[in-house]
Amino acid sequence: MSTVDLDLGKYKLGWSDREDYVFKPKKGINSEIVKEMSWMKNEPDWMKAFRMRSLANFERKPMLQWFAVNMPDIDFDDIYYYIKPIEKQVSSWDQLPESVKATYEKLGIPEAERKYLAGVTAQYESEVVYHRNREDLEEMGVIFCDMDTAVREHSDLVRQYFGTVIPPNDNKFAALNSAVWSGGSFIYVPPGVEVDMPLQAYFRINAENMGQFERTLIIADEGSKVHYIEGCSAPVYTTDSLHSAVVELIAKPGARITYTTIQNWSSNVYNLVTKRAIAETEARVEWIDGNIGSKLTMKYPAVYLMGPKAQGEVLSVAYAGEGQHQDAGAKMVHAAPETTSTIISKSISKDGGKTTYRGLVHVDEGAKRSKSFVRCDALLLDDISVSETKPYMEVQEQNAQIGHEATVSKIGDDQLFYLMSRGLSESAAMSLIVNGFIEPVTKTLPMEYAVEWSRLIELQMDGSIG
Amino acid sequence: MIGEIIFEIAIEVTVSSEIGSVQAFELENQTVLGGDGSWLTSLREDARKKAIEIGFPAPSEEIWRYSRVEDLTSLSLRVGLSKPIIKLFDGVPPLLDGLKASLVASSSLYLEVAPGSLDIYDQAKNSEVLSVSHISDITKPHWDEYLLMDDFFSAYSLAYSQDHYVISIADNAKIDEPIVISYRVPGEDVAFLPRVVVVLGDGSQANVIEFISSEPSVSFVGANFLSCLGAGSNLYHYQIQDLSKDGYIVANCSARISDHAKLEFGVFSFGGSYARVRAESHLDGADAKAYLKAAYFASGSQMLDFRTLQDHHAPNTFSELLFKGAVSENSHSVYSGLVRIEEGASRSDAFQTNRNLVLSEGARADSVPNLDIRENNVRCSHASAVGPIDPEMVFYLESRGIDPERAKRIIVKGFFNEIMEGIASSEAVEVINELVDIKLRETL
Repeated sequence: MSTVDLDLGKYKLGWSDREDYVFKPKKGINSEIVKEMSWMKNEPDWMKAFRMRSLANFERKPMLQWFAVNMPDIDFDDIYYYIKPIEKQVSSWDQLPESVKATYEKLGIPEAERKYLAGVTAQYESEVVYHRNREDLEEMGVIFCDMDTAVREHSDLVRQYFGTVIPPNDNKFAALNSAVWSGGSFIYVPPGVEVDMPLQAYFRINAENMGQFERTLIIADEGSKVHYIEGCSAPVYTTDSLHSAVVELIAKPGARITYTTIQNWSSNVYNLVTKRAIAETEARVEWIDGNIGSKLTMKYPAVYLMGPKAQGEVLSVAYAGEGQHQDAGAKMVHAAPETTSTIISKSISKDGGKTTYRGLVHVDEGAKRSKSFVRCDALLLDDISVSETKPYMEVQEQNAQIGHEATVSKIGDDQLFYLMSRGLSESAAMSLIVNGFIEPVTKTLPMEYAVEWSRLIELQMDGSIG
Repeated sequence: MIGEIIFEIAIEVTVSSEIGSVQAFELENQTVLGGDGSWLTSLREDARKKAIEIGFPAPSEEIWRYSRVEDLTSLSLRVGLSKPIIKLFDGVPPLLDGLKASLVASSSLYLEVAPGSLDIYDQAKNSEVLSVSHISDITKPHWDEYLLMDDFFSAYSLAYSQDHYVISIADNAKIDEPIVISYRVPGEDVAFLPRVVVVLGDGSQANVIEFISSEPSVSFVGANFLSCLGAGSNLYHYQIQDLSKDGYIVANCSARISDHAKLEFGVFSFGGSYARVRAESHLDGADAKAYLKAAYFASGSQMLDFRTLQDHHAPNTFSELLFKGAVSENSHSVYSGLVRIEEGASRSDAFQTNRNLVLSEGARADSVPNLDIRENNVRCSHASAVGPIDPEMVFYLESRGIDPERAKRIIVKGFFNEIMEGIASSEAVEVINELVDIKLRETL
């Protein structure tokens, strides 16, 4: 029997390609760079004005104290804000440069595409380099393209909704994204259309000190249904990268949006993302949020329940290994009667990693008969790791039921003993228990994602268990 | 219980030496009240500097989030700086409004604290095991580092409080009857900053009931209570607050619990326009235990504000918190609590539960239960809930012929019953139950 030596502690997707870019401006941000970006993208004037307004907001807004404590050493002048990798978008996989294609081979996209996926938008650096829509989606009137194309080709539709859920002055990082955004997905689903296959996009950060500021906008018109999946991975570099996305979802009356994120940035990335959805009457929005990579993630997917009987749900899993801090959570705002929300958060800390659940449930006066339930479970795998739970509940309506529960625990010796007595190694037993712990979230994923997700957890566990 | 002995309490009757008063919350160029021991003078000077450094709180600070603390800046208050007059009395003390005769009669020691004066009624004459002193009359104690907390009002009151007393209980003394401390809160323009330290000797046991009430006039109370529990000691500590509706109170209660000691702490908050209690339990020694409870009931436009900390420093420690409250009319309650398990506090258990009943439209309850765990061999959980009275419960009682208003009152009483059951003093339960009844009559 032969064995292969695998260094599982090393980041699996941590290769880096030689940098070969068409346009690579200087580091830092100023109005010249933003204007140049907008010009190169050939954007309409309203978008250029929007970017300039946002830049002013970014410069004016202070870092919030609770944000600043997590990243004392971030330097906004030491980051590339825009890099364009190849000159033109390509319409077929074969036309991509070899190096870019190799990256995606390692990520397994073509396989996934062939088997399951309705369309692929793979983002390499800032521009979307490869994109294909399935013909039947087009026939149904579904628009699924990258955000830059949408601004050019569906300008009126984009302009109507862009920045309405998360205005540029919402927070410092939303302002930054609004000024320098590039790439991301745009989806419009017409009334009554149900997209039965998940739509998918992968993102990669490649160049060192490269900021990735994608912008995603999904509009599900009345009674429609869509599931969008994004997965992230980035190679390891020695200095820190910044990823700051803005994702806006609009679920019109009776519509349903599911948004799944598998976040596996390498352990030098600051991942500071603003995600927010508006759910109108009887609409339903689900965020499924898996955070496994990055140095620091601060991400709190929100649902604003604006119409009666709207529903919001967040399922969140976070894994923090050595040197990592997963500061994740959720936000639910009940602004209409009979709205319901559920937040389920599962976190795992290991090797000194830190997980934080930070959440808010807010019930406005008049949101009668609203219900919300929050459950947070944390698993600490050793005695140097840290778990924090900070759930905020603001209830301004008498006739509303709000509940919260949280537990922190370790893996029981009896559980380990049971599995090891069946012949499993300690690390295999631990992996199995951890996968069982996050199973309520895993089971909501499409099959190939669930497999990838379980595998990622196993790799993380293996690499660090002696 | 120690037998009858001749009364000889360890304090001297002091005559006031007036050094005037200062404008409250203005800290620059103001002198602090000096103690006889230089340790106190320098600690007070440190406290004053600390208060200046922290600055008057703003709701934008996380620990003051949701609070209405800025209301206090509109009050014009003065703080007395003279050393208080301490008197010993024999016989039956006069009753304060709202305080039950039975509670006072059941006490072993009854203290009435007012700005610049302390009246002592030692009914059980147990001064051999119990002493009451003004802080300036004692030499540097071992607990002085715990006096200064990282909080504006705590630092401020340490710097300026004239009414700062220390109650010491001798090793192995078991005092069953409660020590009752009532605070006579002046109205008008005086800021009252009472401070009490209770020091329990190893293996001792005591039961302290604080009662805070006021005449119907604007008042501000900055109360601080520190308990230091010696090894294996037991302290039952209940704080009952029934200020008039114009009263403001910011209370800090901190407990340092040594190994094998047990604290049972209850806070009962009903009065005041703005009433805040910050309660901290530091489990410093192995096998220390803390049981923390609260019942609160807000009405009108009251704000009742609670901040708790269960801080586990040592292995095998245990803490359990249950805070239950009702809000009615346009009132607002805030509960924000933290369970912190420090590295090394393995095999510890910590539980935290906050439940709120929202009785009318316009009332609001905010709940923020936090966990911060740095040790994995622990059991921790928290739960919190906000909601109205379950209509099915009302229906059940109605179907038994009880009218809906009375049904609601029964349900609210039952809701608080869980808290009342564990209270060691039946006289205290009587006082608290009556305050709940008054609130129920007012609002339902």
